[in-house]
Amino acid sequence: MVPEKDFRENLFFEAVREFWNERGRGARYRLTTVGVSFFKDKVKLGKSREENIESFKKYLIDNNYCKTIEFNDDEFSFSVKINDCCLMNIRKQYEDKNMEILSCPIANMFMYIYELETGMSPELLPVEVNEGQCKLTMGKMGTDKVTEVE
Amino acid sequence: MDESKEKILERMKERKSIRDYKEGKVSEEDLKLILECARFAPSGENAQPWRFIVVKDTENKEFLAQISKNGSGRRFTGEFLSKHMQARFAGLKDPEKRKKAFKKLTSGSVSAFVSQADLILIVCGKKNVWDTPYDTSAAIENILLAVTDLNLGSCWVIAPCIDVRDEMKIKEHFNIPDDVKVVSIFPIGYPSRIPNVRPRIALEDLVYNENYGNNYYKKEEAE
Repeated sequence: MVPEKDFRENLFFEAVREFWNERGRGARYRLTTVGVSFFKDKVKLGKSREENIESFKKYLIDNNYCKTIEFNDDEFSFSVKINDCCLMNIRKQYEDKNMEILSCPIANMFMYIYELETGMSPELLPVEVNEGQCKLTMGKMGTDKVTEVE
Repeated sequence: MDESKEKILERMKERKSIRDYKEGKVSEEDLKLILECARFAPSGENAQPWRFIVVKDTENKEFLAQISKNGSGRRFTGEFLSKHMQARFAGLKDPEKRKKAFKKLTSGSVSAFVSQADLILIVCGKKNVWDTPYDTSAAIENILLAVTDLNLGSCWVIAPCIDVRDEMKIKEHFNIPDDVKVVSIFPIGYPSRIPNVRPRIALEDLVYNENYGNNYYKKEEAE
């Protein structure tokens, strides 16, 4: 029997790695919409950002993409802590190959939800992975006000 | 090196990234010459996948400036929040200069200048060929050298199209079809300030002899 999940995960990782080999660091900017069209088909989006974030979180948990999600919003960024994400095996392959994580479909959808409200595309910061938890932090938009808080 | 050979290098050094422009129209004759130079760039299988959009309309230029500003600002704000920018500028000790540099980058103003120029060229590439990134890059270098030779200025700006989300906005605004990608944009106009030549990595650190890492030039030869 073909270990289908392993195969799919490995294909995803290898496709991203080959893209990295071709495009270098710029590859991450070409992957910022990966997963969005899929999630848009699955999650009914409303008008408010808060409502959309809750709908997306509920969809992810109800459908076993992960166990828990913690969302935090501050002035210049927002972050999402995801426990036991179904993509963790793919992330481990990045780690094993000493590659930075270039893209996260779940982060992409959160960024899309944010952009729906503001018209500004957020920026995914380096993903932090710790013992079954991913911390996704996204800069909301370009602003020099951020330098005032250094 | 004899004088005529040195001229080649001097010409290359004169090409600068111009971010400050003064009033003045680029003539149709000059524009056509620039575009003619672009189309004679090398191209795999002679596919010539490059396509160019000339943007002169003020609102369209402002649209590109805003997307460029957002793209650069977003990226550098991300670098600031992740502390990568602070690490990159660790050598800059003067707190005022440091803050000024951070503000300039995070605001996106480093790319927002494009609308100052008389016109903006959008360089696009057809996807259904083998070598679009390389072909269009060769055409772009021809553009930049031609611009320099005409005493005009330009700057290779990728901020508004490096992120696929921004590229989609440009494609929608300028009716660019799905089978064509936006490669970069180029403001073209008369420079009001010409920056100094940026530091370059020495040849001794760039060129290898037969095997990667085995220096071809010794320090004194490279100089």
